[in-house]
Amino acid sequence: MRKSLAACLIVSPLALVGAGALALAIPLAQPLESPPPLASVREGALAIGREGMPDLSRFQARDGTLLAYRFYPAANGASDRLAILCHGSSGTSAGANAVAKALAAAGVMAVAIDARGHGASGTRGDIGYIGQLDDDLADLIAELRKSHPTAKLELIGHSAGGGFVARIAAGPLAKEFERFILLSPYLGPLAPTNRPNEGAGRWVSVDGPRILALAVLANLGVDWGQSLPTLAFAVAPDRRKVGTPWYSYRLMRNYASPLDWRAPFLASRGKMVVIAGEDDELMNAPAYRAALEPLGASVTILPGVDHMGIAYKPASLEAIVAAAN
Amino acid sequence: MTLSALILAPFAFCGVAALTLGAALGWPLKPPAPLESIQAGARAVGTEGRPELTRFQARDGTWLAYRFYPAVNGATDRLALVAHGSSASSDAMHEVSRALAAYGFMALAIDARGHGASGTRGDIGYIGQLDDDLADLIAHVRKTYPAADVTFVGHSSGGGFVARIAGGPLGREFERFVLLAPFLGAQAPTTRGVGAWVSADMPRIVALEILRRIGVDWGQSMPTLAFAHAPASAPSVTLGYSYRLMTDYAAAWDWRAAFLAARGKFVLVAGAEDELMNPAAYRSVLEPLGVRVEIVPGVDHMGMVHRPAALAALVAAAS
Repeated sequence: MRKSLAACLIVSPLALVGAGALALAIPLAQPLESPPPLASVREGALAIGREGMPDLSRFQARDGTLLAYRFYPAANGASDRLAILCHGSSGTSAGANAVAKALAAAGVMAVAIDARGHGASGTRGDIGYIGQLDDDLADLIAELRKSHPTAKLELIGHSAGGGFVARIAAGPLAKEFERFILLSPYLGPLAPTNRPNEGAGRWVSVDGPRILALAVLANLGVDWGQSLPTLAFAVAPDRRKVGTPWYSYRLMRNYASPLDWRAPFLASRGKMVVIAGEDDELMNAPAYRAALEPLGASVTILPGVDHMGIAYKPASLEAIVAAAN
Repeated sequence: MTLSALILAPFAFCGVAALTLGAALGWPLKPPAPLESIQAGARAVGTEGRPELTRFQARDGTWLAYRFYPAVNGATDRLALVAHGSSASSDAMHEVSRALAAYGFMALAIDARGHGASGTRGDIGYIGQLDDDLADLIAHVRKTYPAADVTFVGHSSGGGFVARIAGGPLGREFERFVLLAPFLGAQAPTTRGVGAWVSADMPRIVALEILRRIGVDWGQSMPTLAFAHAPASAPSVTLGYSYRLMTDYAAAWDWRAAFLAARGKFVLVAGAEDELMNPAAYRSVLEPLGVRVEIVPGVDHMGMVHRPAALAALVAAAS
């Protein structure tokens, strides 16, 4: 009896660990499949165009990796204001070309980034650790400050880039910026501002079980496996060398708003501007007003503009320039 | 009791396996103290006449960098692809590339993904991605030089990578393989002792190896090698490798196989004073496998990429 009790005391905890390991391993192994291409996003990206787009510049981040961006000098030669532009999920600096040109024409210097894991920055679809994009942004600011030590900075982001802007607005880098402008921002899975991810709104496949397992591990302080892909985007086959077709867990978590989507609006109250199109097929535009105005954000909803339209339609560019001034 | 034991036993077995793997994966990794001979060697490689970086797009959309040295005599019939050593970049291969170009080769020094201006430092996307990158680079270069004979030159770990490629399906793309003081793996008899240059996280490597054998590639982005650099060197070098980069930018585990697969195409040049490799063993082990071996007196590991005697021997070997 004593022997079997001892055996039980040893075996049971091991069995518990084993059950836990299996409970994590099975969801980690869930495969991820790409959704069918989404025509509205492809057409929007093509409509932005590359006319007048400056060549890539590069700077070296703290880990030695060279990161790319495009610099748009202000048309009037002014150097007192500088906007940093963050593209949407799977995009590149080219997606910000129209917004950057509009700002430059209005006297605001613009820097459109290729966030690491996109475009010409790093290896596609992955970063080194959660928080590396914040470090990259800090390194970019230090780089830009060498030439423009006193320029006032604004941070502008579209879609997932708007989520990233929210993340920065909630963190220690927020003090670097005068204003945050979020264009149709994706504020995370818990925000009320998303439309259902289906049909014409199905931009992304989500590996839910894997994300859950990696989140559990992250809460235990274990960052192993965070390079596994967890999101696959509806990128058209002919755009796969332009757009990043999938995100690793760590890129997904980093290029996004915090799960508590309210936090950035409370932390940077008075500095938050949201602009979205009424016809947005991915985001629920009226909900921005209902959810974010009570948190002190200035919200503008534009009629006749969809999710990608916010990045190039004249009415949208006008609203962005007005907000940036 | 028996029944519950029957149910619990498999779970307990999984528990033991998970704890063992977990402990091994969690093993910490610390770099060795900076190694002066390597830093001094890297500093000795000049920058005069170094071409700007050129970039091409690999199949995954990532932009990869290289430096192109046209042949000084304008010839376009021979092209040498040049692969740097561990943690380095095309910068380190400047003198080698220049010497080849002076001798009538077009030379193309790569920043392998995970190094220099290619990709994120210290990691790649999957094991085999460097092979795909090389295939993409060859296709890219073939657009301009469809008929050039291609030689593959690699130093240290880059030499290991060259050997691995020689033994694989891309081997047939090359006329010749030139290995400069190649690192053929910790288990190869040609390795004297690389402990001063690199720390390896052996428990983690073994755990990832086991997982890989059962088809699990999770965790392969974890760092498993740390090089003898000060952290402040980050701008100019790669401080460490993930498991997948370590496995890909290296010789195959069976280092002999490549020499048998591409017999007759190998030349090896190494310095007699190499502090990391065993020059005598190159001769005794590789000559019987059909490799032409040249040992250059008075040259150490990094000396292979900048000392005039080493460059002369390398050019002679490549022609």
